[in-house]
Amino acid sequence: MSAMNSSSTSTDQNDPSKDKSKAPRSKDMHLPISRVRTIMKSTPDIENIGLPSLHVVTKATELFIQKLAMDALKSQRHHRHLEYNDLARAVEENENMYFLREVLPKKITMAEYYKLVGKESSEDGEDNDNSSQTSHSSSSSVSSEN
Amino acid sequence: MAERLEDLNLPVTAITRIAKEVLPSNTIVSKEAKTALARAASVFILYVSNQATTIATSRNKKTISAQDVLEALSQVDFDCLIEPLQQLLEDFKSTKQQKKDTKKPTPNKNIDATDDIIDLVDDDTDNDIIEL
Repeated sequence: MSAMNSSSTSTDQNDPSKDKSKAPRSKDMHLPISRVRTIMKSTPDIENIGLPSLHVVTKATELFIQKLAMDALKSQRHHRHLEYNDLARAVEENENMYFLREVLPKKITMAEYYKLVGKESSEDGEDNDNSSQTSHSSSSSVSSEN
Repeated sequence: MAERLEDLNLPVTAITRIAKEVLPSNTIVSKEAKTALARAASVFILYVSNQATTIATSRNKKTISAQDVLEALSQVDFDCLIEPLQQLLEDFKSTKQQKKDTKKPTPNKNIDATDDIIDLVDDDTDNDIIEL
């Protein structure tokens, strides 16, 4: 038993040092794994996360970011500036990104908003949701800057 | 568990670097787009791990395995990500194996070998006694 315990602690100690020493590894893995674990742990009903699955989720997230960024760039005309609305459009156009529709809502001008309200009063509630989310996002970005 | 709300944010600089890896080199990413990408990434992690948890609990497992994550990705229509991830998983396994092999060099093998010999001797003596 004691031998097993010592071996497990030694692997724990070796992992961070390996990430630092191994150049290709640190290039592959940009996202902080501990943060990914924290986010995963806040999922309801989650119990334990295996180390391989943590690595897979981290890499999957990186690939997802790249996919979203590329899709956003494809759908816009200038091909040089990536703006918020390009991402929102990519989310709208891809079916598998449906889960982001409330996280990255498309921004609309006040004129468009009034048009929407004029057309359908039932969509009023949704627009209110969107505005509250954008205000929330600005507050979160402020906190991340601090 | 996340104690503060900021704990659920991913570092924007890292996210930007990852995105710029695939974007053309002269692309300018607006500040708003950067934070939006970071937020999308956090939600993606929650989305996938929630799906993976459902899969794991449906099999009466308490620990989420890499296979659960891959299956979750396929369920949420991100099959395109699975192939590179499977390769990563194989690399991960092989490096783990290498670590094990390098960590436990000759002494352990010797112990195993002597154990085997002792077992064999024991068996032989037992047999002999029974025969006698």
